[in-house]
Amino acid sequence: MAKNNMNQKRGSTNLNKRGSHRDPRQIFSLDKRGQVTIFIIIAILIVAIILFYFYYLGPTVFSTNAKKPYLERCIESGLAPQIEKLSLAAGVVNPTFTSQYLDENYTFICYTNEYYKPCVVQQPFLKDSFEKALAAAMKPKIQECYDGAIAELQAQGNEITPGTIKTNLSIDPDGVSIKINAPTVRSADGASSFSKSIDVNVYSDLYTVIMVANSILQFESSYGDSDVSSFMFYYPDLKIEKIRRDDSVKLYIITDKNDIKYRFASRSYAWPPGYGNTYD
Amino acid sequence: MIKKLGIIAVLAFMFIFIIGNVSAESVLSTSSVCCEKTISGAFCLNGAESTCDKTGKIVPTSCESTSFCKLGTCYDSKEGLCLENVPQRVCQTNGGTWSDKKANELAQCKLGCCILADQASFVTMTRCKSLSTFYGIKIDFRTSITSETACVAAANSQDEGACVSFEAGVKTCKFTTRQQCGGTTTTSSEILNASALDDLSGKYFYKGLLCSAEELGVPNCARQASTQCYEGKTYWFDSLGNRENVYSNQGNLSWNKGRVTNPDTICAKTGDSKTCGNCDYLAGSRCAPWDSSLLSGLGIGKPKNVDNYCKTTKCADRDGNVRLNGESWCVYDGEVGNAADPAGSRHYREICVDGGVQVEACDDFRNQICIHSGIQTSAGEYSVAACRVNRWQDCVSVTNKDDCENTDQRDCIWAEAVDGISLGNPKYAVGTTQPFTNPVSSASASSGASTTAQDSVTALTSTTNAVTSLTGDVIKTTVGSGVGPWEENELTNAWRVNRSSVDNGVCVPMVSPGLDFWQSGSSSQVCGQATATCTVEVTKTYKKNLLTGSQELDSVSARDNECLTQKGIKFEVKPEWAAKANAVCSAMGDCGAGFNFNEAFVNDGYEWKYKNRSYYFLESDLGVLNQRLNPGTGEAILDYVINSKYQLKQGETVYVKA
Repeated sequence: MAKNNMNQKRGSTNLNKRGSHRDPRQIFSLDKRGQVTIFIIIAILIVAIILFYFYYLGPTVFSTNAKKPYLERCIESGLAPQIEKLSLAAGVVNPTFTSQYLDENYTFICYTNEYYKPCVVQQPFLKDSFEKALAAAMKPKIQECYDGAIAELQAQGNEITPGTIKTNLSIDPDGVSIKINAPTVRSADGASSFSKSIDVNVYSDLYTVIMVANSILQFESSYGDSDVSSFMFYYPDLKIEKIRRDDSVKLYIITDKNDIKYRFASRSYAWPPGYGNTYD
Repeated sequence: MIKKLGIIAVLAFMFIFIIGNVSAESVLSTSSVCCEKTISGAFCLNGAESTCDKTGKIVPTSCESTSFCKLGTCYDSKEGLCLENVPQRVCQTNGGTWSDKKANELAQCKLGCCILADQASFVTMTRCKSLSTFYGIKIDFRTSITSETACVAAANSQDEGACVSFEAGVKTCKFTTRQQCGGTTTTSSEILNASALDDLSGKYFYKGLLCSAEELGVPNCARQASTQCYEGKTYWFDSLGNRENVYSNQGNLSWNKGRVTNPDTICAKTGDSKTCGNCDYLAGSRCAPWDSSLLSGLGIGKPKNVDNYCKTTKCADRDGNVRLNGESWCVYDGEVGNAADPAGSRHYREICVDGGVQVEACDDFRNQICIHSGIQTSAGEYSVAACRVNRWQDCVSVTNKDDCENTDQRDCIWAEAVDGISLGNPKYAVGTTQPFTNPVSSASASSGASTTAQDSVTALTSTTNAVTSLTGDVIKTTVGSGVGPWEENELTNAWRVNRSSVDNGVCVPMVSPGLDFWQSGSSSQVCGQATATCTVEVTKTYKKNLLTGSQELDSVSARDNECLTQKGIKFEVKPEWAAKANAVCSAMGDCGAGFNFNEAFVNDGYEWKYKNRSYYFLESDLGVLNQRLNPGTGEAILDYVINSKYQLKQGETVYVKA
């Protein structure tokens, strides 16, 4: 019985090819050649879509980073993880004064152990401290990148005289800027050139994030609280979360569009349960 | 002859709710020194010496009294930021300049309006310099503007237009403000000086003109080459990167013949649109890049050169109601207000931000309450909510209705008093042996006694809390009070209320505070303020049996009261009274029996006694316990449900002893 049905289906397919009435129930009853044709068409379509997507739309994940000089690429690759790490601790290296929440530590930047009092600022200059911490964290990486760049040039047959490098890192409104003062003499084909400083700029919202954190700190130290929603309306690209713990500790998480999280904690104008006492 | 003997008995029926029995001393921590640095790494905290880091200074005084930990304003001369409440040592260690003055008293911290092209920032002068230098524009710091709102308005009121100049002999244009352009200006966009347009050395500002205006003849400046987000709206940008008018799919309308025009004249403010760039926060949209997901990335439905659109920012709340961007509203764990907040509950504020709902908890222990209001807009009510401090602390000290309900001062409600209730007796705390009295005038007590039978014999019995003055009356109008109206009888050491200054009722927190009753804390202080002792006058009449000569009980009567029910010669306790007292007690905080926020019945936190016998609420008494205070009226308790199943257990009938 099954065999008969199969034959009937084949017959129907041929009939359709000749332009006869097509039975909708048999529309997928194609022979092997037909199936192969369809597969080829589908494959071409998929390839076309992929090519269209990658070449025409040009997704940012396939950026032209490879065109950048080695030194820049090397420093950039080391910068992102350091920013990410330091942001989680409000720019403090190995913080000890923290509040733990869900196994994560939040650095206190403003704290009081008393009730009804504003917090005492623990980290007054968030940008400065972040810059210093980031510069210190990046120093070995920059040296490593510089050494790598020298080695790369030497491998190309250049005669290189490296110098002692000095770096100046700053967090600016348009990103993180690293000015590397590296007196380097390069000789090739009898001619020598001298390069003194190299600038590396990495786009980041870090400046805005830190300034928002600074504003929250000002509110916390003066009024004991801050309205994060108003900040989010001014800075729509930032997501600001405030988590209140039962001991009046507030945890703040500022997330930028690159998913970098800047976290810190504050305890200000704490209210005790009931009438309470002076100290926690 | 029948000789009647009247015996007056006092039934002291005591109902005490207690939470915890912790001595006050245990919660007082000793603060003896100022630690410059603590072991945990904090700076300038008062505390026990054992918490101090020995490498820092340790001074046996308050940190405010020291020079190194004195709080003041710290000034960052590099960024121009001022921060208050910074210890001197912390500020100086971080390279700042410290002053013991407030920020608004320091010249370098004085704020002004910093105009940054078409933007403005209300900052210090140093910060303005820093920002201007970074953006490469001339500093424009206006000290005459003293508010942020005025500063923003100043930025918005600036003239905008095309700034035309020549660079390397090629005419170029920048859409900017008149001040930023800094060139020779024309007074009107309609006046186009032909000679100026060809002046190779000049720089001319044309107010109200777009760089793509044909009259300007800027080469390589094609109009509407792309879209970008600007101040929340989607704008067209020309091929030189200059902003034009708000985006509209009707290109000519948006271009407006190269003239600047108000966005509202191009298309009405929109909530969610791919054809109009006049996004509006309040209407529920803001400019956002076109979705970069694969399907959208293929350009399906995406107009040419348009990479941004008005994305909806509306949200749906828990009930499915549509909320606009920025709208905030309150969320509660259960019943709220009217002294009905269950133990463990908390207030929350939810905010609609960019299409997502953010939950923001108010301070725990209901130290903050969530309040909300609405702003009427053309699109309907725009809800605004906020967490603010719960001002419950002085409720029990208020003795009149008007003061109690003064919402400018406190968050309290005025409720009906319960027989024998006492609030805020300063000398009374649960667990102590302080004398307790029903605060009723002695005049009413004597009048009550005089109504008994002439042959009655008065027998006074006192409660365990030593009623020092017989009231002789059922105390309907007992009122709580605080320090003010309470007065001590120097002879008896009894505390009583000065009724002349008191209204009839009790003032209790509108949102009862949460208490950390599981720890040593102030729960006993709060809950111990509510105590009810109901005193009932009972008269027993005996008659002499002429045959035996013995005296037999003839009749038993009690004055009308809320505490007891008479059944023959027996009396039973009234659970309704206990429940009323429990409601007042629960209003004080997480006190008394009731349901917690998890709807679990907690039969704890109270003591209900008659003499040495204790009584407990049954879980089946939910109806009784569910009753809530009636705020404001002081007349009756609403939703007063008596569980008909309530009966005293066998052997718990209260007998009146002569």
